[in-house]
Amino acid sequence: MGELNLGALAFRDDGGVVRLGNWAPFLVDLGAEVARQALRGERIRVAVALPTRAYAAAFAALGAGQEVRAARPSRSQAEHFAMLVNLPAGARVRRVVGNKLEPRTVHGVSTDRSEPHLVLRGGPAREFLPARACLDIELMEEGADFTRSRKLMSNMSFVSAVFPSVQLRKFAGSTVVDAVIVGPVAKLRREIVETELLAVSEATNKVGCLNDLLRCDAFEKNANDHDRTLVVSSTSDDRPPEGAPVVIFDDSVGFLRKRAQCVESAWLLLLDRRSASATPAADAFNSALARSRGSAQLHLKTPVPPGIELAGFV
Amino acid sequence: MSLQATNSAYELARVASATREQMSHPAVDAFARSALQAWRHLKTLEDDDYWMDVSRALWRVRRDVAATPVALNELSLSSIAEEIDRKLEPAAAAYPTSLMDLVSDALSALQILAASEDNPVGSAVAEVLSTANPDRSALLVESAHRLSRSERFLQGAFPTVRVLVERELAASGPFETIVVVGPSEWFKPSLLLAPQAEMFCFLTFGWMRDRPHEPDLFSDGHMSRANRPIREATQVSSVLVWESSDTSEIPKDLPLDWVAIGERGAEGILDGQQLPATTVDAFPIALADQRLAFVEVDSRIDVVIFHPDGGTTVSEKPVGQLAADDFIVLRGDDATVDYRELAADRLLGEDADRLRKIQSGWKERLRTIVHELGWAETDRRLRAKGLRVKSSNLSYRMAPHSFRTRDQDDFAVFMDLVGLGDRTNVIWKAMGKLESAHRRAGAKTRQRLEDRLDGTDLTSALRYGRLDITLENDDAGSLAILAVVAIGPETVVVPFHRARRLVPLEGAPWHD
Repeated sequence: MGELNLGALAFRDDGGVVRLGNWAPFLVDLGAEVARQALRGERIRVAVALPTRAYAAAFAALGAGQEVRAARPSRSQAEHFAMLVNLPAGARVRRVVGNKLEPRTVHGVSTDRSEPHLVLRGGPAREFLPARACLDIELMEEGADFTRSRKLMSNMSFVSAVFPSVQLRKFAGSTVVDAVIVGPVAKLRREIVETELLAVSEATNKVGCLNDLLRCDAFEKNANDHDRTLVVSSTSDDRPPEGAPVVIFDDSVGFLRKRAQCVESAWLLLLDRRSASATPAADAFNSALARSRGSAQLHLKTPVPPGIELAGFV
Repeated sequence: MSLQATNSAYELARVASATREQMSHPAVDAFARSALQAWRHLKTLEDDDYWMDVSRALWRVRRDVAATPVALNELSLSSIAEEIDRKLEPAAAAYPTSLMDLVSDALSALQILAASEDNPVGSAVAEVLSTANPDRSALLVESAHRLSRSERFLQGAFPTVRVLVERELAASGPFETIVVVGPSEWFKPSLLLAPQAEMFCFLTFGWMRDRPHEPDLFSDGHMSRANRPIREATQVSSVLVWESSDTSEIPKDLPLDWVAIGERGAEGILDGQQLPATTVDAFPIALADQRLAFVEVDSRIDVVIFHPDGGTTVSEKPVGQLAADDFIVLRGDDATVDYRELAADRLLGEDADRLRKIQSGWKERLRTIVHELGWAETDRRLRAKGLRVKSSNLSYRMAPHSFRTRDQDDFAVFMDLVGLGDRTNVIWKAMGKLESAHRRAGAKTRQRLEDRLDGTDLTSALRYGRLDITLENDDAGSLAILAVVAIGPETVVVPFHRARRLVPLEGAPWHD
């Protein structure tokens, strides 16, 4: 899985430390494979019936997000600077300062020096920044409630143990959504935020949770702030964003209600085999499958664990 | 669900295995053989209602003796034998001797069973449990109505073994051993595909078939299978493909008399001398707790999904897509008003009365016309006036749960027919308001119900298929959440006031 050190992930059980079973790497791999095909322009639909839905969406989103992030073309320094200097005066931006994220407003552009400088206000003093120092500056979303500085990442040691080669500032400062989950928000919160994970190392085990890696908008204290994974409630009227490369449906309810809103995205449908509602969702998947061009060829690097049924089409 | 439990769920899927213990009991086997022969013969007389009760009785006895760990003489078999006996004598002159002999043979075998103190299923259960860890074992029975007898049986020797129905398993496991009374075809594929135990032991008689359900959720058309599909992945597959025995013509589920059930719903329709009561086409639905309900065709109904890892979702489902084991929401036994209508009226406030009057006004006129002209002529006149929609669906149009047609031009045709053509726009808008209020009220009620279910003890729903609940600050009375047992194959016409009401059916022919 490239930079992702999944083998390090474990949990506490009866005083001991237990590594995650091979189901977790499989789900990460599956999420990544769906994303890879989606990024190649394939409108792939994959459905999986699992012994339990628990944690499946989170791990699949981890894989999908990682793939999307790796494939995203980075904006050049010049393009990024041009975007910033063209913002109207007073536009609200966020800036990474050390391990902190701080709010600023755009004052304008200064051409007094040898090269143009972006002028920001809101810090201790007016700041004059050349293009090379502006890569960490992002435009704030409309309605963002962000006036005081805060830590860029609360659990850097855990994240770096799981993503050993990731550029932490870039990872934490990004405001681009990598993956979308449509599912039961309360359950996802319990799994993603409230469940302790360990990153096992030879030195000290690092304690964290899946949200340190996924950064879900729904669970961040400061929504709208450097999110990576968008969580859309299955039952609310909220719509998944158009154009997301991959939408992960964490239950049949969300799939039955919202799949029509995600026709441009790749689908990964996760069904709990025990659920009474798995059948209608599978039926809906099957009728789409009947109209498909053909089977999907999944190139998984991880063996499919026993107890899992998998289908896919393009 | 914790990470420990999740790890364990996948581990169980890897290691779970299943065996079948074949039971044998001379009297039970003899009855099964003779009942099968009688059944075959009776099946050739399918148009003859006379033997229908006998066929059903034979089916029930076969199921009861195979599914209940209780002494045979405690299964009320004598009264069934008497019922069959009563049928025999008057039939002697009208039916061939060969048939009479077969039914007599089945009756004799049944009478022997009825007198037997043996408990063949119980003995087999005890034998398996004696080799298992009783603190980590469960007994799985096919239906809630077998729970109390099974518990009584286990009380003495195995007090720590839990007796469960399938719906409860996800919330109760995992176990080391689950003893399953009956073949796997009585249960869902998930029993073995998402196992809640390391070891399953199915107890079946040799004369019982087992044709497990097709386990695949996804169709094969364009299947891209995993390299270790489930059937090879678990060790149960080789056990589950055993050949079926000679009883394949016995249906898995009790054949219900839907005609008689439909007649229960139709009671109360006024005769031709009076205005026809508002009637609707409805599906008869057999429910848990020996209840029956009629639910309008072309409508939607609230369903509660009990998630296996806890929590519930309340959503809406087209009635035509309902299936066995869905949980539907109906007004409770004590409720006098329709909770959906009450919630919509609340949203509409003072306007509710006016809109309801407009609605009942044009429907009353339509009903009078249908009464005077008849259904066919009314339909013909609507067509002549330019109705474009494929079906006039008159009974639906007259029912209070319909508001307006999809197309305003079609609605104008109805208004013209009932003499309200000049008010089409006003009525169209009024019906739009009502419809929108119902939609919003439905969503709001579902959310309230979901909130109310959060933190509620759901044991009763999962175990017995029924949960009664009252929403706070609601004078609509209680709501009943019931498991669907079976859905009638054909619709029946019922008075509207009977739709979505719980009909208690003493001695209902289904089990739950």
